[in-house]
Amino acid sequence: MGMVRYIESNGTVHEIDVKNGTSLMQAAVTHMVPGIEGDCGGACACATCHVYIDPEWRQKCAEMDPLELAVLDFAWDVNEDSRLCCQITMSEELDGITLRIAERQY
Amino acid sequence: MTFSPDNINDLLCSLPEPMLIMSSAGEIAFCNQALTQLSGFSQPQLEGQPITHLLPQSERRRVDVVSWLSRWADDPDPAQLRFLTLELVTHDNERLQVSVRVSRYESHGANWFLVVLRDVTSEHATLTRLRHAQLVTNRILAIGEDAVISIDANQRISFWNRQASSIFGYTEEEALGHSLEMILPTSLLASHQRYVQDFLAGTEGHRLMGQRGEITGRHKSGRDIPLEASITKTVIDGQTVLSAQVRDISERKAAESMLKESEARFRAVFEHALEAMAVLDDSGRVVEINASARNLLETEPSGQFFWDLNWWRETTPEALHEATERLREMTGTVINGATVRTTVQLSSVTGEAKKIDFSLRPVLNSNGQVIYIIAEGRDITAL
Ligand code: FES
Repeated sequence: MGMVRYIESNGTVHEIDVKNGTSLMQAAVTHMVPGIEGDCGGACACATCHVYIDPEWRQKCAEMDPLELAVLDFAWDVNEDSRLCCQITMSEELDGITLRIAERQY
Repeated sequence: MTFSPDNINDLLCSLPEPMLIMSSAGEIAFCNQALTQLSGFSQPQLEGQPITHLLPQSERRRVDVVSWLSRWADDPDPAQLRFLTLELVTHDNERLQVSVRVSRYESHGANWFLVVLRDVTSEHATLTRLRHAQLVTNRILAIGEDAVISIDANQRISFWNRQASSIFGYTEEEALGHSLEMILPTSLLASHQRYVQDFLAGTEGHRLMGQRGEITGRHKSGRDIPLEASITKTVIDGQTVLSAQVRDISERKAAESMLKESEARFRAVFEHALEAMAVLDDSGRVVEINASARNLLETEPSGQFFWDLNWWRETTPEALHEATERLREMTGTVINGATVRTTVQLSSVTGEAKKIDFSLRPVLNSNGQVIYIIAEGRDITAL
């Protein structure tokens, strides 16, 4: 279990306790965090769970696989901090991580 | 007559779905009528143009249409095709969202892509509206003071909000999919079952709190919880979903019983006091009068002015009038906030002469206004 801070593009902060092993998209959807849609249910096929993660936390996340990198093509305003949060699983190490939610998911 | 597709061009042209054929270099080689209708471009305006003329690259999205179309053509059922859309810009500069299906075919040693498009703009807009409405509703339900619980036709819990967790002690995970029985005391299972059956069979759409009175639920720890509930039924595709809004009334019940207890204590002191006592409202009418005071009267008072009660056994009307007036004046000064204490001569119902130490005191609220007047009389005949 660890705390994940989701920040909406308007600045609203949601701090949520997430069990280890849960995807950060699923946790956001379960806790009704606005701005994370998760249309494909985490299959890395919809790009509607786009978030930005600062480098110090990004290092602690599992590497991006080629499919995630490819599907990010469909997300809006992608930059080097971009990740699809359905591909990040909660772990001890990520306790306290901040995800900034992209302004637009469709 | 046998079917012979001798002119494949005409056939594709009259296909009802918008479609195009793209070269491996990303050039539009052919487009059908349905596509010209959808896009507003004529066939000559599109054929020979790069596909980005129709599906342009966006500044905010890095998707490369040509490479994605060829990627999808090579995969018989890529998951992304169910969720991803491309943006088509029409002749009138309108942006449409289109889902695509694509296949590759080879002809004369070259690769061609057959691309079928479907306009999903309004479908997407409707879906987005619904999702947002659902998000808002869910967030409202999540913060509500009352527990909200839904059960399906098999009485399995299908919705459980945060407040339900705090009342019953089960997390959403522990509750979803389980039978409602887990939050009911065993002794009430049968009667609850009957109540639900009766409600399901009935014609009312909902029953509000208070129409049923108090019910009892069971906490995870086994403790009983007094509750009130409103229920509503929704039939979706022939399946009934029952939803209840449930309020924990433990605190209210505890407060009620404390109030009852303190009322009983007050009553015991008041009724058993040796002094005659009366509580008057701010206009001087009698609200309560105790047993000792009733002993001084011949009739039971009800809502009269304090001074009009038959305290006096005066023989002449003038003397009676004078005594009544004196008490009225006294009460008047207390209504204005003063305290009065005096000795009065009365005779009891049985005719004994009594000397009474009599006082009238105002009770003020926090704003300093008189809300009650306390009248007290102590028999000091023997002193
Ligand atoms: S939920 Fe679909 S890509 Fe993450």
